[in-house]
Amino acid sequence: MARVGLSLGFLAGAALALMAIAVTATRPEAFALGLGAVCRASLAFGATTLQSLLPLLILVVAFVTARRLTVRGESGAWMSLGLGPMDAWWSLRALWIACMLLVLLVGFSAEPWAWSTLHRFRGTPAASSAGWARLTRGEAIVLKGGGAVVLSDKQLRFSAREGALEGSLARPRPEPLQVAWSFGTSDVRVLAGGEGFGTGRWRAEHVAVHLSQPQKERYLRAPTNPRTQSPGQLLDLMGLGPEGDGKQRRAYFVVHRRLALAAGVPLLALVGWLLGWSGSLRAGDGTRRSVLLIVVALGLYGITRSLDHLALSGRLSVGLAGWGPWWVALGIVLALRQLKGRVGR
Amino acid sequence: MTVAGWTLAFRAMRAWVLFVAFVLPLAMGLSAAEVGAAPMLSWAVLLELLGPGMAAAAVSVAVVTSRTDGSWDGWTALGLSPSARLVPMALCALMGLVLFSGLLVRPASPGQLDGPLALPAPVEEGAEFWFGSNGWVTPDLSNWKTRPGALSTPELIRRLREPLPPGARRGVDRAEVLRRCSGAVLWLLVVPLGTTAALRRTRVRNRTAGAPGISASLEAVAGVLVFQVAALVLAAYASSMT
Repeated sequence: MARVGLSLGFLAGAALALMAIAVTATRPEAFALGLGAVCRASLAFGATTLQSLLPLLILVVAFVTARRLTVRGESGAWMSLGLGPMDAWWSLRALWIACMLLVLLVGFSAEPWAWSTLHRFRGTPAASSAGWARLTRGEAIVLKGGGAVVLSDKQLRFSAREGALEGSLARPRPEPLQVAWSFGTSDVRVLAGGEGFGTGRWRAEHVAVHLSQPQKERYLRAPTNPRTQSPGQLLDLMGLGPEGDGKQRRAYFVVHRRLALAAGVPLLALVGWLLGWSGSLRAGDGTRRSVLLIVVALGLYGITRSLDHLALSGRLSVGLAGWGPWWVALGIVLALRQLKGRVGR
Repeated sequence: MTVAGWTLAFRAMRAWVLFVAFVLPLAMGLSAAEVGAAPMLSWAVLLELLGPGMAAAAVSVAVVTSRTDGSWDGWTALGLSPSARLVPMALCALMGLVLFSGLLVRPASPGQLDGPLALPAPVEEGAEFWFGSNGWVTPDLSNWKTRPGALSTPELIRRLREPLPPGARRGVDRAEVLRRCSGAVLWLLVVPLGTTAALRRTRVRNRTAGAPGISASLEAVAGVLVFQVAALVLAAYASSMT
């Protein structure tokens, strides 16, 4: 089982890395932020998916192991001794508990870090970094209203149609700590029709452009999404009450989902085990069971995501959404017991 | 002797159609479940993206079936070389290149253009003033305001040859050409990839096509995916760093 787990784990890891690269790096602006940023974003994306991937991986590992026992004839030998798949599954209980704890650990430690890291690659800070990178490569940034900004001869030249401003700003320098820009000697020409200034040419020795205080606070604010919060912060959010602007509900949803993913590990292992286990080897049985496994895995994934959306839109209780897929998995286990009648325990 | 090749090609085509009928609705359903709304990608984009992977898997399944039912070895014993047997499948793959790679035939509806790498136009849509050697001017930039994905390949090549206005975004047209060419090359690679995986994964002792067929298909699809992601990353690099 260790060999199967390692092989499939390596495969799943490679697939996850490929998917993370495909999602984060294949964007027109991605590399403007630098290769390091792309690698960090890919790693963070992979970590956000890891907790959901691990239970599915355990389902497949359990299926393949049970299938190998069947092919080798070991399951038949167990059954001739009066022992069924439940006995075999139960004998591995320490392993399922270890996997459950691993999923729990990933959910409450790696996932908050990953979502916080992804938060830094979204929205205004990332867009402004990409914009600055484009300017330094000689590209023009088009402004709202038809104007443009371009960096030429170490001067930031701009023309804004709204307000009819035109000019050049020397030595542009972003100051990320103050969320501001500073410039050296600057010329600004106010064309006819401009509002707020008199028409004519204005010259300044030094210019600083910064966000207003509320905008700055919003720009620098730490992420508030419950997925980015540590367990302690999640508990605080859960105690907010209804005045918490829906954050309490989202916090409950995140906690239910993370706990349910961990608690579902032994159940998914049992589903995989029962699907793969057979007392005798029949031609074509492996393909049929593999297809059934794919259908079960995709079905559970689809149900999980649909319940997530229903819960987040307020149409379903968060507890029911979090634990709902495992009721379906339990139904599959019971159906396998009833239909096949091959559970020895 | 060519009957062997066409039989294989027919089996591969049949498997591909089955995969398309199963995978495309499944992918659309999963993407709809993922975002909680209408699917993100249209069927045309999905076919462009997933078509080569499914074709490689279909080739693997056809070759594995041929190996396990004994016809592969039978034709070899009659003197037909393996490469001659693959020619009809390669011709079918060429058909896929023409219809689905995006290099020669573009989707009719502009709404079907947005794939995983939607490249922007060299000059943004709202641009009116442009900085030239004589200061701010209002040139005619309409040629540069069309997204590369909306152009046919000859139009794209023509625009790529024209000098870009200073300040326009470089590399996006080149990235789109790279993306389309890689999509076309991939269709040429599906037969070798699928066949190599099938021959590697089948043993003489295999009596059914189930297990070797699945492992060979997975190997072929993995090869296709690695190639696709590498090509998309290269195109993204070309669009943002050149």
